[in-house]
Amino acid sequence: MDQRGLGTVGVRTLTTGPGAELPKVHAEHVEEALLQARALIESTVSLHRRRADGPAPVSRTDAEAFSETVEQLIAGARRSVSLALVSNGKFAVEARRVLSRPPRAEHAQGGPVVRVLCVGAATEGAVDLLANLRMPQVEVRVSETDLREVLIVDGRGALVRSGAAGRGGRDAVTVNDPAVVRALDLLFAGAWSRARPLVHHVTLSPRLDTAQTRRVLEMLREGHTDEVAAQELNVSLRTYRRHVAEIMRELGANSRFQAGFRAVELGLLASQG
Amino acid sequence: MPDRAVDELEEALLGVSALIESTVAMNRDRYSTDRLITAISGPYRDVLATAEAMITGARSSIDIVHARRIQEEERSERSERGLLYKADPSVTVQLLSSPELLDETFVREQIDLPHPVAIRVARVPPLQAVMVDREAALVVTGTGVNRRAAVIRVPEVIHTLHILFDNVWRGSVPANERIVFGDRARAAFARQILGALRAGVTDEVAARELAISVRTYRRYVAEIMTLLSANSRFQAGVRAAELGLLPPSRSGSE
Repeated sequence: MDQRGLGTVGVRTLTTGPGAELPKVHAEHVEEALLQARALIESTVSLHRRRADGPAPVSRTDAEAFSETVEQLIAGARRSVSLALVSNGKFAVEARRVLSRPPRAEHAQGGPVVRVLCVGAATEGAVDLLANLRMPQVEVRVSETDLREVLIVDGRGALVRSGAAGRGGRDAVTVNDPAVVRALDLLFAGAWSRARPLVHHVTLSPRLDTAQTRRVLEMLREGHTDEVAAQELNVSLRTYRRHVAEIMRELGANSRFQAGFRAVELGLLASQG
Repeated sequence: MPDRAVDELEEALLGVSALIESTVAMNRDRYSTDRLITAISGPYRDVLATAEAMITGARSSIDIVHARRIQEEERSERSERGLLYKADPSVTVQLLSSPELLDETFVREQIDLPHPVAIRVARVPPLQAVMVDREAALVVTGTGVNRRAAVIRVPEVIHTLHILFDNVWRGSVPANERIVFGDRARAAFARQILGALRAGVTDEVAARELAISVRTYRRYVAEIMTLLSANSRFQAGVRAAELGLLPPSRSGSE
């Protein structure tokens, strides 16, 4: 197209000034400049093509494309899907929708391991997620500390939600750089190993969440003798020991050392951490 | 007549010029997104040079994850730990190290410093990271030909890395409070005793399993409790869990 366009312009310029020598020479200069410009643009095109290999290391996804991106990432998962949830919001809903689909044929056995890390507020959504999932290898854990919503797949791709103040309607950031995705994956694993399993979170709360239990645990934690602790709590030694025995039963512990260890693992003593 | 032809030409040229202008803008836009993540594919000294530039340029905070074993071919006289002394003294430095990579000399050096580096120990997967001013991060993963390094400036990703870092940091132990059971053999024996305590077996059963007398077993338990500054076995259990002295229980054990 360029070629024809230039040709026409050239011809017209040549024919319009029959009497003048100067414009003709001038027109030749213009044509030369234009041809140079064209060559320059062509080399820029190939320069650009060389760069455009592979996906961009990072790109922003707007609200419309968000579902699709989540879906693509999860559908392509082979080994692991790691998900951090902070609320029962859009991200949780979207992840649940994709994860509740029947597994694809090649995943009939041994699909990806799905790890869902959530904060207390997102627990309910996570329980729903567990109930609806078709993927067999799902584990949910509850984190004591703050999180940010992120989806990491196979240490290969990641998607980070852009918080409430999303930049210009952009909903999420997709990351494809292997080092960055691996870094997210490794730190996620670090946080994961410190979180407690959802089963504990759900089954423990009612009985161990009484004021008396907390007081007894506090006494135990401070390392008081049973006599001192009973005195402090204004109960008989017998009653105190009965409380301790009940707590140990709830914790499934056979010894006090075991009870102390479990109490930390289950986050019953977390407030002082 | 000639004027109109010239005008047409000029119009076309102006059109081309505008098109180039907008292409330049498009390229800049793309370029600035590309720059948000920059892979470092060169030799390890390029990684170190980047780390140095980031550390010396830090204005408020430096957070480091030190859990990737440095390969033999990556060693150089410019040690990672030396780089930290180049940071501005007003900058808060936090270093999270995996237990096996903890540099005891570096920990001791901090004791006399007016602005010591806060060092904590936690079991962390093999990652090496330098995060500066909560704005940029250099991450290195993998070894040998699989080593990947990149500098990140994407705010959302930086924030996520920080949240996860804080999460691990809070659950970790300050390096100077670390419990050292002595040499390798003693440490292994201490772990066996802690394992028996964690299993909740009676002292008699534990002593029999370890082939020692109950008296000896109890003496060892007392020693461990002293090391943990625990007054009761419950407290010892709490400390052992908090300090990460034993791997976490399997979730299906109850």
